Order: sequence, then C-alpha cells, then structure tokens
Amino acid sequence: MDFDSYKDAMYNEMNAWYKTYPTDISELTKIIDQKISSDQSGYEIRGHIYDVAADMMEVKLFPHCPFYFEMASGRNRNIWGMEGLGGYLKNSKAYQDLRHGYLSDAETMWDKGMFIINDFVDNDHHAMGIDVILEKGFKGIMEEALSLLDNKVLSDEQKHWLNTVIKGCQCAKALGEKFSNQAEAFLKSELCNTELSKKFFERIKNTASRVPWNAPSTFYEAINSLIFAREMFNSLDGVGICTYGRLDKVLLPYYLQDIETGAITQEEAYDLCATLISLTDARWDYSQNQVETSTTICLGGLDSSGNVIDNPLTRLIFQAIVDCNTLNPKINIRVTDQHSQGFYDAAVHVSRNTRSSVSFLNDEVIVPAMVNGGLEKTHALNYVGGGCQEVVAEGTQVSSRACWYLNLSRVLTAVLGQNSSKTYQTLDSSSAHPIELKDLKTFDELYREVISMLTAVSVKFSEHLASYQQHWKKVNPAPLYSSTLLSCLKSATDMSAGGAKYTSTTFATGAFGTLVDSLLGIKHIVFDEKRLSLSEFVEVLNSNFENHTLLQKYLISEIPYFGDDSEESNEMAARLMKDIELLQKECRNFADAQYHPTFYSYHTNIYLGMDTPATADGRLAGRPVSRSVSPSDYKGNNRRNPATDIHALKALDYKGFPGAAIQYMTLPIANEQSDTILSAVLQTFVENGGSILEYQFNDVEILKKAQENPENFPELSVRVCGFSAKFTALDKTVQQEVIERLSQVA
Amino acid sequence: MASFSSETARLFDIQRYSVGDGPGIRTTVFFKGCSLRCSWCHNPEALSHKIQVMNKEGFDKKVGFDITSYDLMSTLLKDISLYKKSGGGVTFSGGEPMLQAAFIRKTLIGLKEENINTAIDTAGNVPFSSYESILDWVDLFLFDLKILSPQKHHLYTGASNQLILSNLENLLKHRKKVEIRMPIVKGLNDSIDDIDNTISYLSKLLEFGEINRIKVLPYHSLGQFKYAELGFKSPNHEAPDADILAEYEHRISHLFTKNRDKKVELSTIN
Ligand code: SF4
Repeated sequence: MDFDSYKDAMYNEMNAWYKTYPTDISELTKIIDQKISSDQSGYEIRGHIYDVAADMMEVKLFPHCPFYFEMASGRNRNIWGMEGLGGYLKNSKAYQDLRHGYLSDAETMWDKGMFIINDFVDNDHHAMGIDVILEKGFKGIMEEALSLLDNKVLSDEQKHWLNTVIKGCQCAKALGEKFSNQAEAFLKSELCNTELSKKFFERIKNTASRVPWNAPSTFYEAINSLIFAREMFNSLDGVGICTYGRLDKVLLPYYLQDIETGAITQEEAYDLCATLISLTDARWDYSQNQVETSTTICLGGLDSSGNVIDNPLTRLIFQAIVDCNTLNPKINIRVTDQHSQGFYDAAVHVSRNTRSSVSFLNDEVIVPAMVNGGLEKTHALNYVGGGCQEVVAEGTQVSSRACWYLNLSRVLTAVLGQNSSKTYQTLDSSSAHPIELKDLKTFDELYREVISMLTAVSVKFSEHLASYQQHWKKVNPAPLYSSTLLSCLKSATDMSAGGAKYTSTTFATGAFGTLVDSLLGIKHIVFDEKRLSLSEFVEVLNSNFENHTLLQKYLISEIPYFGDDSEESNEMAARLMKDIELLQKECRNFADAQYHPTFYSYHTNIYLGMDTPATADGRLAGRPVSRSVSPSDYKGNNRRNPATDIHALKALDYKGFPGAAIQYMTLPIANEQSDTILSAVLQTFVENGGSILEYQFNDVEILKKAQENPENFPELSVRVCGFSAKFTALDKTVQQEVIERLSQVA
Repeated sequence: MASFSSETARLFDIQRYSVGDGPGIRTTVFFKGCSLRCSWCHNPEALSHKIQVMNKEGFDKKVGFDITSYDLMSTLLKDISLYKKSGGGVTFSGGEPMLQAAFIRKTLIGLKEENINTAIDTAGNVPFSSYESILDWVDLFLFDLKILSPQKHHLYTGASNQLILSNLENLLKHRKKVEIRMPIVKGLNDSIDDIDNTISYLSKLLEFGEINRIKVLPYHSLGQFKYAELGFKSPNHEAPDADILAEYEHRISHLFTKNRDKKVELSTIN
C-alpha cells in the first residue's frame, strides 16, 4: 500500500509544524478588536472573525499528506477548537464573566463531590450536518441564505445571522483558494521533492478552490470536505465538532461510483482511509498529560430507511483501523440485531486489535430511546457518537451532555447528612430538607427520600443552568456550523439560540453501581439484618469504617451488588433506573426541551470519588465511585463476570435514556478472550437490551511495571474511559485507578 | 459411600462465563465430593461431600449447597445465548461429578432438550455403569490422566488407576469425544520414565478411538490458601521444570505427527 510509503514523512512533517503551535495571531485579533463596536451582537463579531480569517489567516499543506485542512488559527497543538481565532468570543470578557459566574454559583450551591461542572454550555461534542455539506457545498448554503434574505420577512437579528452565515461561506471559499494557491506555489518549490508530493500538490491545486465550496463529486473530494468543514468549524466557530461522522454511510456512494468508473482503485481508497485514521495521532502530542482529541468516527448501524450498513467500505475502514493501530480517533461501531455474524466478528476483531477506544452502540435500544426523547425516527437513525460516545443525531440535534457530571451516590450521602449543608441550603425547604434518620422506619421511606432529593437536585440544577444557557447566542454563536443543521438555516436561528430541530441538554449521571450497592448495603445491615440502626451505620461511615473493617469487608463481599445478577440487585437497579429516567423528565433546558437522561462518567468517577464520604457499599472515603452505569470495579469478581453483567441487563430498561448509557467491561488479557467469545458477548449484550459497550483489556502486570519505570514504557497505551492514552503520560491518580480496576479481574 | 440423590445435587460453586473448561463460553458446575485424594489438589473444598465451614477474611462461610435440578437449570439457561453464540455450553466438574450421576443424567436430558452442548470433567474413578447411564447426552469428556504407574497413583491419589484407565479406554471405544488433561507435578510424574509411560499409553489409546485434545497442566499453587481457610495443612508441591514440560509437549506432538490421521490439538496452560 502507498500509505506505508508516506506515513513516516507525514508524521514528521506534521510534528515539525505543530511543534511551532500556537502561531502568533495578534495581528488578526487586533483587526477584529478594531472592527468591533460596543453594541455588536455575537453574530456580527463572528462575522468579523470569518472576514479576518478569509483575508489574513494562513493555511498549511504538508507535502506527504493528500488532504488540505490545516488552518493557522492560533490554537494550541492539543486543542481541537475553541481557541485562537475561533475562541475569540469564548475568551472575551462577556463569555468568561458568565462562565465564572456560573462556576462560582455552582460551587456555593452544591456540596463537593455532587457535580463536576466545566462550563455553562457544552461547546464540544457537536456533530456537523454532513449531508448538507456533501449535497450543497458552502456555495449552496450561501445561496439559500441569500434567497432567504431576499424572500422572507425577517427580524434584524435573523438578518444579521444570515449575513454572518454568508460571510462564513465566503470564508470557506477563500480558504479553499488559499490551499489551491499554496499547492501551486509548493509545486514549484523544494517541498515538492517526491513523486507523491507532486501528485498530492497537483490534486490539491485542482481541487481545493472548488471543494467544499462546491459539493464534492469524488471519494477523495468527499473525504476532504468532511475534514475541511470540521476543521473550519473548530478553528473559527468556537465549537468542537468531534466526529467525522458515519464514514461508511456517507462516503459509500462516492466510493462505489469511483471504483466503477475506475477513477480510484481499492488500494487508493484504502490509502485515503488510512491517512484519515492516522491524521489525529500525527497532529497531536501524546506526551502531554491526558490528551483529549475528542475525535471519533462512526461505522455500521442502520441508514435512515432502516437498512443495515455493512459494506465494502465498512470492511476497508475496519482494516485500516487495525493496520494503523492508532490511539485516536475513537471508533464508534453501531450494531443491530440485523447485522451478520461476520460483521460482529470483524467489529470485535477491530476492538481487540487497535489501541483506540472502541465502543459498540446498540441501535436496537438507542434509536427507540431517542424516539422516546422526542426525535423523529429518521433523525434518530442518523445518530453518531460525540466526543467519546455521547450520542447525537447528526445534522438535526445539538446536544449538551458532557459538561456536567452528577454523582448519584453523593445524593445518598447527602440524604444521610454526610457533608450536605450547601445542598440543603440551595434546595428550598419545600423540595428537600434534612431528615431525622431515626424517623425512617422502613427501607422504602429512605428510598423515597433519595428519589425526592435527587429530583430536587436535578430540577434546581436544570433551572440554574438554563438561566445561564439563555445567553449562549450572545457570547458564542456558531452560525456557519449551525447552517448545516436542520431548521437553523430555514428559521435563520443559530443553534445556540435553540435553532436546531432538537436542542437537548443533560447532566451525565454516574456512580449508579455505587448507589445501588449502597442502598442494598443499608437495606441489609439496617432494615433486614438489623445489625445497626441507620444513625449508627452513618456514624460508622463518617468514621470511614475505623474499627469496623469486618463490617466493611462484609459489605464488600457478602451483600448482593449490582452486576452479580441476583434477583435482589437486579430489582433494585431496575427500580432506581426507572426513577432516574422519570425524574429527569421534570428538567427542562433553555430551549424548553425535556432533559435526555444519560449515563456517562468519562474519568470524573475518580475526582467525584475524592470528595465523597465513605459509602454504605463498603467503599472508603475518597476512593473512586463506580463508572457510569457499569457495576462497581472494586467489588471484586467473585460473583461477577461478563455473563452476569450482561444477563443483569435484562432487568433494565435503557429505552428511557435518549442520551444513551455506557457500560465498560474490563477483561484480563487472555488468549481465551477470542473474537468468537467476545462477539458472543456483544451479540448477547444487544439481545439483552444494553446501550453502549466498551471492552477494555490490559495487562495489569505490565502497567505496574510501567508505573515504576515509566522511561521503559513510553509507548504503552491504555483504554481509560471512552478514550485511549499513553499510560505513562496519564495523571498518577488515573494510572492508579486503572491498575486497581484491572487488578480486580486479573 | 455417601448416598446421592437424583432430586438435588450438592455443589460448591457455579461458575458462569467459564472459558477454560471446554469450547466457547460455558457455565461450569462444581459438584462437591471426590473419590480421590490427589495430594496436589487445588480444590480442597471439593473433596468432602459434607457441607463445610471456611473462614474467609474473618467470616465463617458455608462451603457447599444443595440445589434442585430445576433451580440449577434456571441458572444454566440464563446464559443460553452466550453458549449458542460462542459454541459453548455447560460443563459438570468437581470434585467428581460422576458420583452424582443420577442427578447429572436428569439435568443433561434437560440441557439436551435445549440443544445445549454438554461436557463432563471427570477424574474417572467411578464404575463405568455411571458413564453408561449418561453417554447419550454428553458431547465431550474432559478426562484426567494423572500418573501411569499404579503404585505411584495409589500413593498420591489414594486409589489405583486401573478403573480410571479402563473407563478412559471404554469412553473412546464408545466413540465419545475426549479431551485428556494431564496435571504435571514436580517429583510426582515428571521423570523420563513417567514421560515414557505416558507416551506409550497414549499411543495405545489411539487404537481405541479419537482423542480430541490434550491439555498439559503444570502444577500451580493458586488454590493453596483454601487449605488454610478450611483449617487443613497445605500440601507442598512445585511446578515442573520448563524443560520437562517441553519434553512432554515434544513427545506428544511427535506421537501425533506419526499418526497423521488422528487430529489432535495440544495445549499447555500456564
Ligand atoms: S480428582 Fe480432582 S478434585 Fe478429586 S482430589 Fe484429585 S484433583 Fe482434587
């Protein structure tokens, strides 16, 4: 394959260039500063950004990369968007004041360990409207904007917005021309020193000024349109577009057509796919701590008519993923009960043979869940994973999910009066008030207190968040990105003003396992076995099990727990899950849409755990809480294994979770974990109604050695929670958590 | 000998997602009670048919429980999808499951009604009539071949190997699929004589029927702690040397290259 012949050169050229990041853009921002008058809207400021980018921003081609995309927007190397030129608005005083206001409110509102909150809007985790880009090009979008301006009665705000979209499209045209011109110049320079670089520059010279200004007409043009558009939104719109989308769906017609006409060979198509797969690793610097590339691709699943996607391009990309064995992009594979055994085996093979994080998303559950969340089925069928796996309907939905993480188990500790003063102060006494533990006579009474506290916390959180989110359009609109989303253009409304067909918000819930297990612990110790009164038990927890290690061990190893597939734990989990789903329906976002319940953790479970007191499942204070909706990792594996985990799913209803729910499955590295076995596990996961599954296998002994002598393991990678990283570059706390988690299954 | 019921079984564990006891994903059912007393046994809780008490991290835990065929079936059926999709099924192990053959027979029939693959992991020290009673419903026997010398066998397991070997031969003659499992313990069955005996016995076995697979299992001390938990003295054994294992493997592979028509898989678990 040709890719092998230029891969090293591409990596080296990119490394040399990105080392110089961030580039100096002070000349550009100075001009924007000058253009801004005091009463200008966010749309107009964004328009200045597009103008300045079109006039002055440099672009960069690499001799041994066939694609054109890199814009010297002044971002840092390891930031995918929202900085430099695109971050001009986000870094402005108006935005930062709101952000700081929101964060400091949140700090006074909630006791530590209840939430991890990053911002008041989720600027990341977006998915662009790929179909629009491929069908119309930016020229088509501009023409539509122009015709709306001509023919529709519009408010001033709408006019400003449409004019900004037009500027954005013109900017796309100008940038394309810059790439063409640069290619032409490079062709005559010493940079063009191999046959391949000549071929690449020639092609770019002839393509970039046309596409994506015009709609692409070849496989090469279509791939490059996706890369270019994503880069443009990330560099100039102040948002993170995380996903390249459903490659085997959107690129298939171009692939088939080019193969048939002989415009491309299968090998050439493979090379382009392998280059795309390798692009992220080549651009990022993984030696830095916790590098988050937020880059995903999506494969498989059903198309908008419900037909199975598993085609020659799917398999070609599978092959490229395995061959490239990169750390990124994250791979999201959509599976259904209609996919063949061969597809499952191949998909699992990918998961076992790449360092990237690979997730399996179950269409059979996620699509109906999204429909339950109010999406039309055709839109739901076009979902993709966002930054890691957070699902979002491509081209129709704007979702804010991965900015706020709620620790479910911390709600129980608050009910029990463990460090809960701020939270009670925040919730007015009508919705939740501190309880006398001795008044709780039955387990059900306690359970109801937990649910009403959780409801009160959720509703209060959503109201407070919405009060800030309503300012989104003023401080960080993204007109060009919005113009690719259904409804925004027609209604001349930015996505940040709720213009997209669906605007969804959620806090991601985690520590489900810790909460289920803690409830079971209290039920057994206090109400069933009557070993201690509830107050006495809470005292033990507050002492962090001091002098009660036997009780702690008893809780860990003798009480039913989530994932052991016992009737008792399954019932508790099912009841709690239903209640969590229902109570979140009382929450509404700034666009007056119902919350979309979801379970994610990322690695917040470690940090939330640090501020969580000892819990009634035997977990010590400060230790990580459980991840997302996965069973606890610290309960050992005496009674738990992939079979119990997956069978326990039968009791649970994930169709009420339109934001989906991720379950991690940690497996020891063992030769027995063959493709056939893991394929059977995955198929059964789908059959039993799971939402998202990620396999994580690592050799714990090697990780321990790497922790001791990091210098000997510079390349060792590990799947953390929805992302892969160089192990030795991870924060020490995360390293330790990964090792402890894996030790449980070794 | 204790009397065994066909209504309930006495088990000490049920292990779901078992991937080393036969093909695919399996549930392994561990029956309590054994007619041998191998000195290296790493399942001391399997030996006695009686319910025992083990002290685990400060708690007294009962070891052993009785279960009806109905309840066992409902646990086994939970993972039917995993069995079907992975080519797995159910394995009866122990202890010596064949001591509870009447119960097993009943459960096997139930499993076969669901078309589930079945395996029996046996040490072989029961009358052949017990095997005969279940032959029709068993897809695979995992059969231990421990020590060839009858005296040494008696010394280290408490019984002669005569009945065991004839059972193995009979199963092969009945055209049953058999996987042979050979535990190798330093000082017990790792001499050149032991290897010679084993190889000549294996070549004799090949005349009776087809051996599906041979697994060489070097001794490991993983189960040691359980002796202390049961209040017993731990045995003192060591793993065989690597060159002895290599010799076993080499000689076995050689044997099968000579008999090319007999397809066999050889694997060593470390
Ligand atoms: S046959 Fe198996 S269970 Fe019985 S004593 Fe020997 S090793 Fe232990």
